[in-house]
Amino acid sequence: METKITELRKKLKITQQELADIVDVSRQTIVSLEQGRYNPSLELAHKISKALKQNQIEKVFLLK
Amino acid sequence: MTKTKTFNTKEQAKWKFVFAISFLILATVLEVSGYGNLRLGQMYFSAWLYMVGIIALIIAIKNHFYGGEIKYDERTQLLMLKASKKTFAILIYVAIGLMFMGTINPMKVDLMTIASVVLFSIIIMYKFFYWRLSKKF
Repeated sequence: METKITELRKKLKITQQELADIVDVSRQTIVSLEQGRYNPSLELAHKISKALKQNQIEKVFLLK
Repeated sequence: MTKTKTFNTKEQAKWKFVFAISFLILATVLEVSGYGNLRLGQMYFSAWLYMVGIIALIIAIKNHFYGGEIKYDERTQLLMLKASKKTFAILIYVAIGLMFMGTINPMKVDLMTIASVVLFSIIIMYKFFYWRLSKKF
């Protein structure tokens, strides 16, 4: 899965740790998500999209 | 999504200190009061208390100085589950292999030695699989 987390996070000037705290996961999980190594659950994907001010999950997570 | 659980090992260190110190005091009291020769299995009870107390003290000191917040989120829980499954599978294969070897050439082994080897193997295997999986996921 491809993600736009890094891009959107940098646009909002949020650090990985800050995003991790908002969505209540560890920083390592955010790192894994950004690198496309881990596929999140629907709930986590929804939380991240909301934290990155996106109303659609598809704008953050792209299924290849 | 499984609920994220947060633990602060630094905050919990004080309880480990209390636990460790009580074990060490109890062991010393047993030694001083003449009950030092009480046995628990193959070990002296006071020696066992000293051992547990010292291990707990080392963990408490480590957590106090190097501890912090640990989050068990959905990814961590997935890694733990996968590492446990792999460790368990290897344990089963090894047990089957040993049983098969035992039918060919009967073996006599010391239960205490085998138990300690199995325990440490499980811990090392689990840590290894967790580390390898954390690189993958």
